[in-house]
Amino acid sequence: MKKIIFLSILIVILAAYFASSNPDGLEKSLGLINKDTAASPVSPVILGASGVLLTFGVFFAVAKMARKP
Amino acid sequence: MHIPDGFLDPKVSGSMMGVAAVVVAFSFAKVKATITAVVSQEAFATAGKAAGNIIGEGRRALTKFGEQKIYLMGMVASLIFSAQMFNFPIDSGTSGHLLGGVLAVVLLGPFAGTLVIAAVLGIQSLFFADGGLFALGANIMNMAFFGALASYYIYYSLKKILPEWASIGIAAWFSVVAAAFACSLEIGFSGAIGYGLIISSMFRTHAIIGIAEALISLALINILRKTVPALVDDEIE
Repeated sequence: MKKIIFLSILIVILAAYFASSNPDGLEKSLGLINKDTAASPVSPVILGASGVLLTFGVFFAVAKMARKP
Repeated sequence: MHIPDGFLDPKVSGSMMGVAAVVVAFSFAKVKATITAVVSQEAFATAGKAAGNIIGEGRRALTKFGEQKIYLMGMVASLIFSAQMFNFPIDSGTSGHLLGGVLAVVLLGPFAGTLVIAAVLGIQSLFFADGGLFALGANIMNMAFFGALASYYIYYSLKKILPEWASIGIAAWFSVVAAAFACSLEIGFSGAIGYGLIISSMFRTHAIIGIAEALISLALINILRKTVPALVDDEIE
């Protein structure tokens, strides 16, 4: 399981270089969003890694809570 | 594909929120039934203090398999979260990313996979402003219902007549196109943009994203099944 979490964080580090401010096909080409999304002051690597840990943490917490008598 | 706030009419976002709540509640009930077992009062009394995982007397209790399943769900969810960061350019000003619906349902089963996608969308919306809070219901319907649960049944039906890799590939492509089509209808119905323009534009973009989705899903499913042997649950729960 740890391997997969490390793999996820590794993907985040790689993905940070490809993170786009124009994602998802809903933006400039449709004229729905006319400007680029403002760049976040926090590094995408930090955001991504915290997201990975938060996502796993939610399920981990659910498992631990469900086990309690 | 993550619809931000302000794109949807309140009637559309409200009704989508209601339907999504039903889908999530139903999926939760189905998963709960598979990861828990009814423990009798006698068993509870015999187990005594060792029954740390028993919720109550004669009630449903989380099984060891269930606990492992929740960890696996968390693992797949965190992987999908990270994979959704990987945007590949499609056109000027447009890019796409992995949706992960078919990846989740093939590895975890239809309802656990649906819950995983819904959880990822909720976390993205609540903590990372990726997808609007008021559009969360619509995003869950598009990506968790059409992109995961409905696509599972495409995969399951195709698997009877095609090799598994082809079933996964077609279901993954369908998941992206179906989610994009649903997204187009919701935005079109809200009056933000005409149906014709948004459906043609979204289909053009997401037909290409769907090919990448199929290839990435196939690669990740193969890698994960070899790395984590427990991830072989592809039966209808």
